[in-house]
Amino acid sequence: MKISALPDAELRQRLMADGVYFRTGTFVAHLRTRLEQVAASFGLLYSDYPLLEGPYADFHVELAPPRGLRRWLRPQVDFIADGHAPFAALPAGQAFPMFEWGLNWCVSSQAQHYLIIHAAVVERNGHAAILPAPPGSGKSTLCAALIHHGWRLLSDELTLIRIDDAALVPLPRPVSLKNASIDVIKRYVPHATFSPSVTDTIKGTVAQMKAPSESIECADQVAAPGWIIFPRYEADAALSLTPVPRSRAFMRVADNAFNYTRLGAAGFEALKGVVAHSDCYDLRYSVLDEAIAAFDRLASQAGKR
Amino acid sequence: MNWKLRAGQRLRMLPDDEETVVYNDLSGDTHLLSGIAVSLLERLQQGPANSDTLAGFLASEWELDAGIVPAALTETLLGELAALSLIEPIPS
Repeated sequence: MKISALPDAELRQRLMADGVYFRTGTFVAHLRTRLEQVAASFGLLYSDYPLLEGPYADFHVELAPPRGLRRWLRPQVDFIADGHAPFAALPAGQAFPMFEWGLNWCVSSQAQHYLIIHAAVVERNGHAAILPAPPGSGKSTLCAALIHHGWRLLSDELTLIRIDDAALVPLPRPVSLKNASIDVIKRYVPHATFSPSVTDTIKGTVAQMKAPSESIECADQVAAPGWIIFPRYEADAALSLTPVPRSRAFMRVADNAFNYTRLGAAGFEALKGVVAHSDCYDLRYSVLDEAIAAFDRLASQAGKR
Repeated sequence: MNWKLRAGQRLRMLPDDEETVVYNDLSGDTHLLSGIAVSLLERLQQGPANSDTLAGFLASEWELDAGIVPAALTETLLGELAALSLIEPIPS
């Protein structure tokens, strides 16, 4: 049963009362909130996710106004995970982005049985392309375009690498877009569903794009490593795809990992498993059509390697 | 001077064309090493050796540029590998 099976009024009632349990990738999350903005965006972007019965969940989260006087001076919101608020409160209007950021924090801080890389990951023909990149590199923009042009979304933000066999484990969640890329993707993928834009966050204006339903339905299908691609958007740049030595790619990916050092030798072996089976490139692009064509060429050659 | 791998050092490696990623089991650090440095590690993985033997090994395995003295290069590399806790001298 999907969340969309719940009528809007019942979804809101459940969110306010005992909360809603849903599956996202391999995790079960439990959300409780009385905030209308969160309920509306959750209903919009999570409609295709499996609805579960409680009470088990990997992450129990709540979005709620802070206790005390602050709530009356200026409306704010706390992200509460397992009864604790790990972050400072944000303006109430940022409640839904805070839910997304907070859920990412839950995964990256608690799912230590995976090697977790700060990277988008998409899949085609069974092979995954990992896109590690710093903020502002165009990673999410590219990811959003790819997953509406034949590629499956595993994750926009957190690449989960299984320790035992270096398989890429899906965590398909809404794609987080920022600033100019929001309108770029709204024009490029006009049929996609977006949450309302929220201005003046720490990341500027942000909006989330709903994950394709096919990606959510295939959330139990892991992918084999295929490519590591370091994307960089540059205005007016000609497309270039430059091979990167695997050794150098390894070090760059490790720098983007949340828990590589903590995992020790197991982290090295898992990342080695990914890098050894990946072709690695620096991608510079300015035109999404050209970037997608480059990805498609790589995918078409995958079977010939 | 005689050299050996540090006890407990497994030399987990991802080899590549010109450089190799080496995981240091003892420190938890990850190093990016040149092929010639890694060849010394692999030689010491087979058993302890003295500096002269290792210099001869490098001279025979690598086409060193003219002007490079194998003994001096070997000492430099051994010093670097020891600083990373990958190898250690054997007390005489």
